[in-house]
Amino acid sequence: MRVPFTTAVVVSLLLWGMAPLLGLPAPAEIAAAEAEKAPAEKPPSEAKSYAYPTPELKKMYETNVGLEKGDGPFGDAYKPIPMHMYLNPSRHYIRPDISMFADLMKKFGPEQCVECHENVTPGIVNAWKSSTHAQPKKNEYFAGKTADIEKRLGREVTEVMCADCHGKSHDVLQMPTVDNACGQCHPQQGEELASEREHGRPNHVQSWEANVIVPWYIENYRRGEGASQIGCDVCHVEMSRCDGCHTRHIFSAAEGRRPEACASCHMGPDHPDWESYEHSKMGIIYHLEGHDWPFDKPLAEVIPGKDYHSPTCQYCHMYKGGGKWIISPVTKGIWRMGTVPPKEVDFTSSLKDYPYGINLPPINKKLEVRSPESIQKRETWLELCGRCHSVRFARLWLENLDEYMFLGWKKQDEAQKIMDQVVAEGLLDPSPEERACYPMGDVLADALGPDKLGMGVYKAFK
Amino acid sequence: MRWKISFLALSVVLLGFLIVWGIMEMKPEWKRYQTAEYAQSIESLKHELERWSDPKWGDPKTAQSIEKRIESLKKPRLEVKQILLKGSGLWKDNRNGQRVDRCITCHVDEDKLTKLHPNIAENFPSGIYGCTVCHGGEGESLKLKKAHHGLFRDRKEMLARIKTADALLQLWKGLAELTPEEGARASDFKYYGVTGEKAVYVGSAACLRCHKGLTPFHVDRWKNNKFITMEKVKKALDFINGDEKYRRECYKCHTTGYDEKTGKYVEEGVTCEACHGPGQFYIYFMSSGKVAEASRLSKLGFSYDVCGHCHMARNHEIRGPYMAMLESDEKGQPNAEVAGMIKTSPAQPIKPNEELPTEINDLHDIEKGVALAGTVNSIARESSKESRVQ
Repeated sequence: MRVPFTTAVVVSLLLWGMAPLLGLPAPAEIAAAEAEKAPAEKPPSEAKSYAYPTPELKKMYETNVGLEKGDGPFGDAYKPIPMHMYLNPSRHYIRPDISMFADLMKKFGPEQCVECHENVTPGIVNAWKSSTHAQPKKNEYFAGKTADIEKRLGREVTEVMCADCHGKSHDVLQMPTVDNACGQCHPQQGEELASEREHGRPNHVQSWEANVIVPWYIENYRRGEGASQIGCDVCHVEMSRCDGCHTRHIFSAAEGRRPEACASCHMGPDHPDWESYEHSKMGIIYHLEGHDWPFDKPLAEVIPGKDYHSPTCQYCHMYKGGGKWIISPVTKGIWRMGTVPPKEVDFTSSLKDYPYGINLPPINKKLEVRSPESIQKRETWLELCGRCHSVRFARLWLENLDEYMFLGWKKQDEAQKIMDQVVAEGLLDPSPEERACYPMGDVLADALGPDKLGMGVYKAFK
Repeated sequence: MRWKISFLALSVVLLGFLIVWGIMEMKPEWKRYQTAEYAQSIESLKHELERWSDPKWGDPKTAQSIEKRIESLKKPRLEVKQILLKGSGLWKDNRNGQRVDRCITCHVDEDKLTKLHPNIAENFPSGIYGCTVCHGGEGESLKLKKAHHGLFRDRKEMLARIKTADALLQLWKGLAELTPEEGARASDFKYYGVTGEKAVYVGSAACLRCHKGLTPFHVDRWKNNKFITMEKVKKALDFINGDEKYRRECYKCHTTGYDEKTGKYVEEGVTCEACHGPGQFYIYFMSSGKVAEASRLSKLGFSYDVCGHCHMARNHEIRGPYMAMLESDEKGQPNAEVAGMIKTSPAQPIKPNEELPTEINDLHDIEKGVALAGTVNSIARESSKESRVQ
């Protein structure tokens, strides 16, 4: 039985779902062994991890390994590029050698970073000076928030200094992540971000896992083209950090509430979310009037129509229901970015057996727009939409969008049927047999077996 | 002569009819579908066989048993299969009614059907409820066209069915008729939607948007009583220290839309849908400009025994040990500041109860019922003891 190459490519698109299920302990074991051999620069933190809740995941994605091995279950198969020490610092960061300045460093304490860095990196220092971290009690609202944090930490917070996030000296310098820095004072936000995991992929908190698990990621390193992966890495690394939306070194909540915060990743041909918003009436109104809207207000206090004249990405997608907004835009996701064929369409082509007999949760899960779970999400949407629209309008609008998506899949089904026929009649040139082996196919076949891959894909990989 | 010819012609025609009827009787429509279905099962079993005969990942024993199953399916016994449904009043005498669903004659692959009904099979086993109660159609027919007449094939068609509240009320009634439980009423099935799946809880925010204005007294009365209790529960020490199993006992009554299987709830506190049932279809009518239908659904679907689900005696017995600990503090006073305690002062000062341990760790050893739920009971016990001594 032949499986067309296109099928194999689609299959590989799905393989990113398998990380925790692979049962590939080798990289993690090696990491542990290495950690024992050489005294680690940074002792592996026993503290709770927001980004990687299990020890296995922590070992695969977070425990520091320098630049010796990569991330994920195929971590042994490639070495990361040096740039990764900044992209995924918790795993790859290497401190600069400052032994020449040892005497200088002795003179300055952890509260004196600013004195040098005002000259060395004035941009960072000045940004920090204008941040709430520099004046945590600058107004009543922030004073209240800071009081909560003080109560939790059991100490007074007059200033959040460089050392609080970066470590107390250059000898213990660290690049901040949600685990070692942000989450210490903002645990609720950390937990809300981590809660995305419950809803399955795609989400933010697992976006780095999704990035490095695909075989072609490693395949590019095998071909010596690892540097080209930076295009994926830059966005996909946001999961373990907060500064994707609340940028350095101001870390402003108000900035995170502006729709542009999402735009830096959610744009372009493969996910034109920003383009859709920008050109929609909602986006146009934001463009015309948005500069005056009170983005300092927490989303739960925003009065629609008065504060915001049209919704932002955050106002709708971060709404959890019951009048609550949380730092997770995936709680109401029904379409899951529209990449999975829905059960509601009667497929006649090979899309019928999607995902090609592969039996790896969550990728073997089909989209179900009318399941009770989806209906519950839809009702939460309608409650939200109903703040500005007639619920009947909103319901008809969204149901029409569903139908529109189904029609799109039906068209794709027709096209796929033609492709199936082309493959069946051996008209592909070069034929699947003549093409190069699927990236890492042999490794995958041996690791996963026919139960998880499905017999067709298993044989094709073999 | 002429009559002889016409007699012969008539006989030939009759014979012809007889032969055609005979053939039709021998090869009815359903046999074709049943054979096709068996062929499909064989096809999927063959895929399975390929996987199990793989030299590295396979298992020869399993492969053998699959082979046997394929062999047996190759020569299937074609027969009419049917589900006997509970008739009016006959079922309990071990005799079935006259209603039957013969759908499984053609849809003969049970595994396939179970897979197609992941949320249904458990609550409404097809062996009892059949197919037509939800799907419509004519269950006793063995002809495709007739059997599928008025059929609701999938969720979309089922959902499109609810133009008025009647569709839902009739479905509930139909389920109540079929259930083996005696005395079941339509309103007992209000937790299920038109697809037979659990109806969705929409959350009180959606209800209150209209009902703040429509039924302000009712909303105010709800707001001003104890129904927003989950906040109190969350502060109670036994809840905080309790494990997930213990907490689930609290969720049962102190949340709305609690699902025993998953342990998840939709909303904290006792809100609209805790008493009125899940609002999926109610809100559908309300927001589709069919307020009268919404009103009918809520009135006809409501039952006045909802309170009893939670307000029953000894529901708090599980809290006994915790309550006992509170009683026996140093001053012998019930600690009114502790969350979850009713702030009433005892009628008479009580002595520290030496029978009861003070450490919460020891409390697990106490048998249930040593300290009944609450201070008042223990005081009564204490005073009755004293009076006996006197």
